[in-house]
Amino acid sequence: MPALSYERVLDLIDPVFAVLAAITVISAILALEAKEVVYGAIALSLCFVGIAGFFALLDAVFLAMFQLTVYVGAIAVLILFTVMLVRREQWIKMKENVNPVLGILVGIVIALGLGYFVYASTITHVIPSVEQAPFTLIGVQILSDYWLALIALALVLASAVIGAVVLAKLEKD
Amino acid sequence: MESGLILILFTAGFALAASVPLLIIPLIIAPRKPNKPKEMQYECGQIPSGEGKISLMMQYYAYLLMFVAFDVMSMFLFAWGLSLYRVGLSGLLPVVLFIMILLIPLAFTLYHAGRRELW
Amino acid sequence: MPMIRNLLQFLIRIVVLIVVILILVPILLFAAYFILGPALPLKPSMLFNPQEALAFTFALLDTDFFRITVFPGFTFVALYGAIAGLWERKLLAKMQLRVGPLYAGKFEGILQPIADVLKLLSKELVVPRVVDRFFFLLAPVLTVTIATAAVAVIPVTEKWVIARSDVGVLVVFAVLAFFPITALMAAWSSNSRYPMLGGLRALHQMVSYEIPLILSVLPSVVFAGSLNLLDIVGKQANVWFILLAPISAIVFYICSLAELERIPFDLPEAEPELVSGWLTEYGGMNFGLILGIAVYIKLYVLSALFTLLFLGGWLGPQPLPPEFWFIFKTFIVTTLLLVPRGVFPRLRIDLLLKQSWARYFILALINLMIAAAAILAGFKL
Repeated sequence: MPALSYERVLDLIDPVFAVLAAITVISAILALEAKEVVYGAIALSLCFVGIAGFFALLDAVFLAMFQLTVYVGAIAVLILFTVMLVRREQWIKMKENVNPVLGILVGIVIALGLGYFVYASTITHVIPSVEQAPFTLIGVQILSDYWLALIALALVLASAVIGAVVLAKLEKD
Repeated sequence: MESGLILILFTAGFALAASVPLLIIPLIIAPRKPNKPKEMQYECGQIPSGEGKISLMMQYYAYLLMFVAFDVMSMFLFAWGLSLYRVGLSGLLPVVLFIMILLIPLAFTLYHAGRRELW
Repeated sequence: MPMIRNLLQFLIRIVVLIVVILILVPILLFAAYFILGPALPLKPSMLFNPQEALAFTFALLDTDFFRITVFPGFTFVALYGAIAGLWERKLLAKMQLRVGPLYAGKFEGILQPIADVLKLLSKELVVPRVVDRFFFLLAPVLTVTIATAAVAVIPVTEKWVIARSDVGVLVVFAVLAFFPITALMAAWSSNSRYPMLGGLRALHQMVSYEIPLILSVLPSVVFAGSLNLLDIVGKQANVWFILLAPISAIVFYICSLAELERIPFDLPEAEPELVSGWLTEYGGMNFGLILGIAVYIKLYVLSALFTLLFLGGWLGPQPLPPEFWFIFKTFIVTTLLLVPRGVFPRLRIDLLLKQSWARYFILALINLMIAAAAILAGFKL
């Protein structure tokens, strides 16, 4: 295993990656721990924007725009709308008997373990590739090799919409 | 990484830098006379009472639910549309099936969204 | 007596502003010169001898900074927005048999936008006590920022584009997806009922009309085979896409009317019902930022997108430069987007939402199927 050196750490971390990771993780933590739930929903949409930035870093620009349009434009909006309309006295406060310090310790141990795996490999630096992955091939692959996944996706979406509408309306029927 | 994307961020950043002074200038040159009627919410002259947040638009919730599913569908149709020159007729059947399957919840939701007594 | 006192206070504040600017700007410029000076070929003698500065000025025109700031970036779009604002008021006035702005400036009120900006800047920024200060002040700034982000991928000519992106069309849609969140943020932070109702209506309307908008763009993308806006315009050299996909063009036009919250989709700002919709608590420059700048930037983005996708962008007969053709066509589309305000009544919210799904979505799908059938039958561009 190569030596654990400071230069190797700096080679593996890109400043852009570090900033994006900070934004994503901090807004994810805010989304869970914010006092006002609306702030949490807005922090969640910021987290989704950070993830879209990761997709852009990995040269999947089509996927980044997909993520922004679907996650931020649809899912974050739905969550925000739902959170805004529930009246304050209907929130159920669940009594949590988990020790937060234990959770943070477990998180640090897992992070150190994953970091060990990265260092034990032979990766020396991150190569930023200049070319973008050809996203026009996504359509070709979906229709020829993975058409069953497409049909399954359609069935899942259809059942999700029908189920949500059935659950949301009143029981007059 | 595509270099075009970082320029989008720079444009947004420049707009941010240009619009913040527009909020600061009124802070310098505009008068500041806070009095009670100005500080309350505006409700056409009468004094507002009751909570500020309401939930009156539940009947249109079905449209928001549909939007999530059809947003994903439109993105996949984009992926299909870009590949039309290459795939040709052999790829037509999955997409037609895809759209047909997704027209069913459209009809279902439109029917139920019209019946207002249910929401 | 109070009037003279207020006037004196106002004059004192203006003088303070001018003095602050006159002191700050030279300090900033000197700092910039001493920090950046050795890197740029600038000499103090250029101030007195403009001939020497010519090469530097022409080199400046090619940089990204110029493109972001001046053309086709922020200044160009802001000027376009100001002219579109004046044009809108004059157009509506002529349609309603009145005259519109007449007195600001020698010729038919041409300095009215400047007068408007000066007036809005000098108004008190009323922040009611019950609002959420951070989001109340953040929402207009965020709307302007996000609207300008979409301008970055819109090309004016092949040479003048800020960000050449292979997924240009999708960037515009990703940016449009942010607007419901900022509208909700603005509505929620003004802790009151009218803005909340208006914000929810704005949310439902914007969200329902995004799908037909996205699908109506697809036939152009399908005919061109690429998402790059430069390629799409390049493929229209023989025939404009509006002739190949007319239904999609009409659906795009109607959905842009809805995205811009213009009449007949005006319900979020319905004056007889909701005072001013989700903008009720905004006054002064806050209001100017959302209702003025951001709306006109969105107007420019959607008109330019219509021109690029359907009307052939900057292609036109040769003696006039392509920049002129692009701006001319965009201006015609903007006029078409502004006209319904004086012509149509307002649509009711449930009819509006039902129409977008039952009518425009199906129409966009039909045109997409026709375009796909044409391509599969062997239609080559």
